Amino acid sequence: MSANDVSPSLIRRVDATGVPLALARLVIGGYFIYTGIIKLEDPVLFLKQIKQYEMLPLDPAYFLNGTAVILPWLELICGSALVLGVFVRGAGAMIALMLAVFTPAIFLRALAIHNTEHTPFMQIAFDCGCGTGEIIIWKKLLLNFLCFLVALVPVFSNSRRWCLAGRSRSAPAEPVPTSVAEPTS
Amino acid sequence: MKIIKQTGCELLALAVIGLVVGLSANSLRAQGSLELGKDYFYIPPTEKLPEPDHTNGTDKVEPGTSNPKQPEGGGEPVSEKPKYPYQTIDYAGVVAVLKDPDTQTGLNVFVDARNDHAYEAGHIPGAVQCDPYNVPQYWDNVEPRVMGALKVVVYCGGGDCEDSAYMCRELVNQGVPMEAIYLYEGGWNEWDAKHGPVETGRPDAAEETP
Repeated sequence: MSANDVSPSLIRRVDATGVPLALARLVIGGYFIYTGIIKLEDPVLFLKQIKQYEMLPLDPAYFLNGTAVILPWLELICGSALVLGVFVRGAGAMIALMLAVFTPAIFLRALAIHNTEHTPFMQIAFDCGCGTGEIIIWKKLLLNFLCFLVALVPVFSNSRRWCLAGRSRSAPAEPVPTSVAEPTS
Repeated sequence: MKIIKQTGCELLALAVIGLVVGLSANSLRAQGSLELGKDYFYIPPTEKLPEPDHTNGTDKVEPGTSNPKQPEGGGEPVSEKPKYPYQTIDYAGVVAVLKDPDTQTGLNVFVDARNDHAYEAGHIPGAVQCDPYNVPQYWDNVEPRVMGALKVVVYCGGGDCEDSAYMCRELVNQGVPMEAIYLYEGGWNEWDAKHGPVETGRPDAAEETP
């Protein structure tokens, strides 16, 4: 028996309850289901929004159009996976990865607007294509950062309580029945 | 290490599922699907502009309109490259076209390149709506009006909106003569700000029903 098993840290004990994971799954999963559906409602609008970031080449068009087609579904699938408790680690990592790409892109676009239009950064607002409509960008950046942190919970949590698939690692030791624990002679 | 492997496998699985579902759903979608290979944001280079019409023996430019290669006043050629390869028209020009008797007889047509919601909320009277990203959906309604029209004035929201330019491109692709197409760059923003006449609802579709 290792030292960690004897006295698990507070984080591990809290994680073992399954509550942080369940909350993270519901919050992030629900949020990404919502944003995915919003984007799916109007693919053309989403295409125009991601074009504004100038991150993807216009020629060939497959990259930009493919992203506009696939990304909303990826968000919906990852959100659903989190809520259901399937592929929890991968879904959390995928969402964290998407946020790690989107957030700097939003920041850079806001910075470009700040530099060209001389709008105070804290007052910059635009529709970032995130499914939230026009939003004050510093609030969006903060929201994305918080979402990124919450999305990491399913990646690092060892609990699989209330999940449809997977089983917990380092689950709290079940009380061993005396009759089983006693060696038979 | 096992966690990394598990996360990587799940990431890959989700990416593949997203790819398959996304592409399948797009191909099965009845409305609003995207053509993966189509460059929706292509604007032809300005060099492909038609030569100014000399057939009537004049180079006269109508009030409110301009050709990027033939600046008004006939002065020195403009050094600044025009943004779009289409004739442009300003607010005064649009008002003149609106009052033109040919507009009442359907020989001049306005094409609204904004979305359904914006169009129904208010548009230039008599304008027909056509989404440049989904032309086939609207074309049956638009084609009889624009084919053979003397002037086709195209507009969208104005400002940074380039949808009217994409709509001009689509009209040319569908066979509308480039000489008949006028791009109203000020768009709805300018029209609304200058209190131009407005029509609401969807009269373009209502005309079709007997």
